[in-house]
Amino acid sequence: MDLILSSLEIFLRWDVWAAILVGSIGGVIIGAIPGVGPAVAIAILLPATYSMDPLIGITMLLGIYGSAMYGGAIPAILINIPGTPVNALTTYDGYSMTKDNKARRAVTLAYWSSFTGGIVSIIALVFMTSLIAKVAPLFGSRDILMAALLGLVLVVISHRKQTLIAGLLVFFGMFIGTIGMESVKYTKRFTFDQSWLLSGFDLITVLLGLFAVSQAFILLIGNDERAIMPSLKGKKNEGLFDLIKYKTVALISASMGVIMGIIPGVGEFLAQFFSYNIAKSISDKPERFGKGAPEGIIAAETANNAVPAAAMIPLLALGIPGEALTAMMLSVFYVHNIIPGPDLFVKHIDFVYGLYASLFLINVIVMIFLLFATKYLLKIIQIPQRFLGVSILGLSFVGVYTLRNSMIDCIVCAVFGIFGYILKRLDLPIVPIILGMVLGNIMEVKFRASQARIDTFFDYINRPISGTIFAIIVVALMIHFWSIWRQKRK
Amino acid sequence: MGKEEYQAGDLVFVMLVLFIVLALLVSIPFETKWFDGIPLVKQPRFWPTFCIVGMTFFAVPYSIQVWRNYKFQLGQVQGELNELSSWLRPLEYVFYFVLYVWSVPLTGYLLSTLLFFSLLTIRAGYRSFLMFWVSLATGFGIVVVFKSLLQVKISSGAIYDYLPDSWGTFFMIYF
Repeated sequence: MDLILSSLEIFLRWDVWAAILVGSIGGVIIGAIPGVGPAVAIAILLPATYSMDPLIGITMLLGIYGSAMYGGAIPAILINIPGTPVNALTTYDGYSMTKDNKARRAVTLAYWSSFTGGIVSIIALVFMTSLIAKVAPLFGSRDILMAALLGLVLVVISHRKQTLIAGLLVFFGMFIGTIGMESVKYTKRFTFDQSWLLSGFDLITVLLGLFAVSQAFILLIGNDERAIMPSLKGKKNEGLFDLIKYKTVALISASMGVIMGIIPGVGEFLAQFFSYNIAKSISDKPERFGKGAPEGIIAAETANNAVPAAAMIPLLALGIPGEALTAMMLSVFYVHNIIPGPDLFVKHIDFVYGLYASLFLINVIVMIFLLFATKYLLKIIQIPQRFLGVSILGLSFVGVYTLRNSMIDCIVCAVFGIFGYILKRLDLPIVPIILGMVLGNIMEVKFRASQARIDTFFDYINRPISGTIFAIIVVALMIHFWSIWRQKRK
Repeated sequence: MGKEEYQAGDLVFVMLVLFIVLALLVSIPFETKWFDGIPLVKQPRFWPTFCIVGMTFFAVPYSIQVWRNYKFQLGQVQGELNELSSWLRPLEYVFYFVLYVWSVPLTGYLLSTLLFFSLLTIRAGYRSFLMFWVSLATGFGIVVVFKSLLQVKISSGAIYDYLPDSWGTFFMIYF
């Protein structure tokens, strides 16, 4: 109890409050502007957070991550354009409700649903992280290796209809992570005698290029589209009544978001997909889905907002990021020499409790902000797209140049920007590259560390944990191939 | 397992991928080291080779998939060329970006940013005074937030050396 109280003392600091406010409100604004999204914002802000206290930096980034989807629902519902990609499903029922003059009801329903998802996942984070952390000391190199492999396998197979290219890009990410001087024999790998390649590609440079600079190019080359905003009429708590009415859908969707958030490589899209289908299957009027069903909004928004806090569970307990945004946050931990994993709960427990409390406050502040400030946010949504492109490119400079004040970093970032731009134009995924880079690095280190105890392949999986994870990998692959086979038979 | 519909540019992309994968496979012996007497899995060469072989493992069936999809839509040469030219369009903005990076150590972060934002806003097609001022305000705001308040590490401009001492120091620290 004393520990919890002493952890809460951090909220007497003004900088913690500033980080919470900037992160939560900034996240809502970023989410509400179509074309920006939390990945771009976090990639840009990441280097700036390196000089901050770790709790401040992580809180700010978590604020953006956790609140962007709240904001992303606004344009999805009002103008049929999702603010962030994960709000796409909200357009189905949200925009239909707007066309039926129920815009306020739909928007507030999305807020309350997101809030429910956020709070349920924080509760799950508090209980499950400490539970996993108790098991985590039993994790050896082989177990972490298998967990990282599970993450990569799930990233690939979760890209349905794009598994081949997702696999290719995962290995590409792993490959670019190997470039430079390796740390065991100190030999050069794929440096092509270029001195600037000796230290390899910095994760931030690649991230900024693939997410931020590529998005700036997309916006700069595209056209400005002016949307007409519908008026918001009605009471602020209209949506709350709908949420209470469909509380079962909310709880199922929140649970689905938590489960999908914990599993590395799966994330918001599958969480929403499953929640939406479950909500439809248990509804009295499934035919309304896609035409303005409140349960549709609840399923989509509750599930996607339950993912961020849940995605922190494998990161905090095992040091394994499940998706791109937690992979970015991992670098903040490393910069401050706070290594996520079982030790975190022994050495930095006050930091962990502070993080839990910050996450809770972020959700409360966002909710209050949105209930009173939505009409002002509508103006921000209308920022011209090409001007956003100018701003993102200018901000990307800060992100990459502050790393080492290096022109070469900026050129590398621009090259990855073009690569990301091409991938986006071809509708190919970017996230596998980042996860390949981060998890590939973890895998190589653990692979080498485990060699002393390895004689045959079976030594990798003869431990209870690694064996169980391997079994999960096999089952996941079997389900994947079975679903392909079934689809082809149809 | 692959995209079911062909999209202009897929074939060119796949050809580039195959070329890169092949080039990487060929360069493995030259770009990685092999130590005699050390088991394969402990060689510095092992992990990059594993990654490149993994890339090849997925690249080959992906190429076949794209080729199969392409065959049904022959006669799309113009579409391919149009897509290819659109891939080159960001190069113009890369040039502006690199110019901006190059100018910062010379003219300072503030001046470079104001010029970058205002000129790029004009290039993006905005001609109104309002957008011009908005671009300047945005650029100034970014400099104040990141350099003046957050004190991120950005090299100061050579131009500040020509300012009077007190002003020069002030600009070096905050702008």
